[in-house]
Amino acid sequence: MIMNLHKSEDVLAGIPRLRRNLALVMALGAITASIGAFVAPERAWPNILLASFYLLSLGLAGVLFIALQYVSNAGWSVAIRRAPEALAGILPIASLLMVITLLGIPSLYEWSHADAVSGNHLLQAKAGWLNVPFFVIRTILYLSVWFVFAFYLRKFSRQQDATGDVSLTRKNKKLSGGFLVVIALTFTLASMDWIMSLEPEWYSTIFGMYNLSGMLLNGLAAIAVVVIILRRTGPLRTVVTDSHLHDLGKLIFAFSTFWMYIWFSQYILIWYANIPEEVVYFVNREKGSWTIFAGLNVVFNWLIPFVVLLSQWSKKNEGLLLKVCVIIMIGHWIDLYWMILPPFLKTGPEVSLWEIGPFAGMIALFFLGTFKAFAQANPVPLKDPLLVESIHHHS
Amino acid sequence: MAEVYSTLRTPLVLDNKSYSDITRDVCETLDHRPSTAWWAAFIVSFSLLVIGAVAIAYQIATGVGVWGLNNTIGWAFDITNFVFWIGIGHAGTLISAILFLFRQKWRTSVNRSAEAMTIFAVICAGIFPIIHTGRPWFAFWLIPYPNFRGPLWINFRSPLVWDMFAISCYFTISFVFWFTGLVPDLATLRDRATSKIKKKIYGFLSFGWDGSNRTWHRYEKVYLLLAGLATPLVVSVHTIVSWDFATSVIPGWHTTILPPYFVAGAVFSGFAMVLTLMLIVRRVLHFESYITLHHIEQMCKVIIATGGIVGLAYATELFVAYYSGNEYERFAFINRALGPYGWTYWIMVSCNILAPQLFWFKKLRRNVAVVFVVSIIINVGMWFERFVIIMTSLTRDFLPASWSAFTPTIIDIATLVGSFGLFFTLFLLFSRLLPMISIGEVKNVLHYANNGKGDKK
Repeated sequence: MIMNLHKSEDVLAGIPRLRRNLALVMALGAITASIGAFVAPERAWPNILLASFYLLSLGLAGVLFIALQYVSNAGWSVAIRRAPEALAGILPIASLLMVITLLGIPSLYEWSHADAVSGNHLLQAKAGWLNVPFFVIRTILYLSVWFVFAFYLRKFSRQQDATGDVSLTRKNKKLSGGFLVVIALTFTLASMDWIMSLEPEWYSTIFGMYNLSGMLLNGLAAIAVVVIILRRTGPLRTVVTDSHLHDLGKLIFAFSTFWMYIWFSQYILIWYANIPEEVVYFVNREKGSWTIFAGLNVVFNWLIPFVVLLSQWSKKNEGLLLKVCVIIMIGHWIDLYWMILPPFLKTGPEVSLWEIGPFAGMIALFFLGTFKAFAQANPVPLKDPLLVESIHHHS
Repeated sequence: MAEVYSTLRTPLVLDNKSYSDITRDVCETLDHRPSTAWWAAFIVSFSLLVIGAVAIAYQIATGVGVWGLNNTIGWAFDITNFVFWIGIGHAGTLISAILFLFRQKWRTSVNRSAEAMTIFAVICAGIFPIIHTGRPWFAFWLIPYPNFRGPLWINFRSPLVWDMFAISCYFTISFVFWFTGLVPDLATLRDRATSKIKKKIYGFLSFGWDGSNRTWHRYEKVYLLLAGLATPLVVSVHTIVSWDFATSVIPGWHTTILPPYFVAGAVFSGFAMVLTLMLIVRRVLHFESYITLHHIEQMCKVIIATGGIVGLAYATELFVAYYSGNEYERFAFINRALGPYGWTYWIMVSCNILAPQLFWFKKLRRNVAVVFVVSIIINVGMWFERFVIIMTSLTRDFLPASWSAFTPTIIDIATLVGSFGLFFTLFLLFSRLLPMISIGEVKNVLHYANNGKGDKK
């Protein structure tokens, strides 16, 4: 039981060459994105935005998961908490990518062009919010607030490994409560800023909640993927039981359905009211071959997870859960692509080098960053007062 | 394998109770004749119910015109009350189903009463759409079936019809769920009944429960399945209620965040009502060992969480009204806050957003008096929330010439008062006929974090 629960540099020892291959993919992705930004800015920038937002969401979902566990006094999840903490560890690099994405503002946002605003009274009405300096300030503000919370939550958790001080749990509980308030407000605004304002005349109040639900679903899937890999390669082999996977599976099942619920709420209200300035959003997203993506979005994010994870045995089946999680992670790319790209590709989605490059590079970066962050701490929060419940957990 | 608890956990049952103590404490009140206080409460509630019944009888005899409605404002008190009561019901299902799925063991002390509250609240809510039909004896026309009226079918595209399906489904499942949970306790009542009639009635209702391993096993399976079914159902009910408004094109009604916002608001208001009721029950029936300060704290935390979602929704609506750049959207929200009914908006904000912030402090969460007062404030605030949403958008529609105002008539107010009378009458009857705490489930958590205490038999 006690063996292997201390810090080790080589968390991927069970999968030789993985690190080298990931590094290769990451480098290729970075090169493609950089070339694209100059050769085909209208195609590359939206995909860079997508990749940055996706990576940032994964990091945030890690923090959100930890915060939810703390405020709900959850015991079952403590043994796997270092995985979401590792996800939270990629926030700095993800924030850097988001800041780099700001260079693409002229290619991305119609409202950033003075001539577009001057001819459009709606954009003039919004200019107090949608203008480049304020947009940049807001972005930096969101990123720094998130980073501060992630930093201290991880710091206190690791400190506890050494001291075993129960007051650190209380400190993290308070931080978590604060984070939940902050993320609800800032992520709503951030998703509206970065994604909704790509079509600046369109608006939907549920948009923040929709992105939050997708972020959490994808984050849970990513946490499960990381946990399963670490269980296979060693560091968590003796700790993670089928009960932990069962509970992760239940949460994935629940939030997949929650995502579907929010998706449907937005769709039906806009479809039903049929107000031209609103409905144009879905009209554009069902045109031509965009329909295929519309369908795949629902199939990948909800239908497959719902059907497969309905039974108890499937949630406890490591291999099957891993496959469903990978499907969800692809599904989240489809979801974001379907939100971000239609203003740039009117006729239909195109899957080319500009799509694959940044996304594949970002995914490689995600795994490299997460495993690196994981190796910086003990694989399990050894002195957490709730660890005992997690070790003996039976779902 | 025995369950292992962290040292951080607090026991759910205090004062070294034994299994038989639990049965006795919960059932004792049913053994005696009702107290004077009960009779006083019952007479007051029943009188309010009579006032409501008279008002409804007068309204049905005279017509819906006796309400304060006019051409511009076609919905006001009636629908406000309907949404208010449906919302109250949601906490019961959250406690019984969703918290069960989340393994929140503290729910066992409050789920029985909360579920009863759900059923009574849905009954109160159901009255309003039915009397609003004007000719309630034709209310069954809402049900689609091959008929001789043409045949005339309902409009399946109308959210009002979906409401009918959602609420009747919700009532049915809530009742079945509640009753299923009651069966083992009814058997307990049967076994300790002294009079023949009581034994017969409780015996009939407990379906021949024998307490065997196999019976418990099946009971727990059914309970889990019902919890799984009730969870999406409770979300769908208030979602569909929100669609009554959000599918329209009225600024302030048509906003996509309404479904999750309404669901959170419903749970928020429902928890406030659970706290109001349970704090009284706890005091009067001496349930302090079962409904502990820890339980009250947990409920306060749910209020902070759901109230936070409601606050986020208020803020999002305001922000997007500005962001939309749409003059009608912007006007709808300026009118809400600063128009002739602005005072109702500020009541809503202070009751629902400001008051619950007190619950961030542990000291206040454990102060029964403070919690009781805040729970009532939230109840008031959530009634006003529905009133604000429904009313203010209607008073100022697209055509300034048809702008109007709403003043409730005495009949409007009497009907609202009557619904409270009905609710409390039913709840008081429940407190005399059935165990208010789930005996079987509390016994299950007796040893939780008790470290060997409470093992005496």
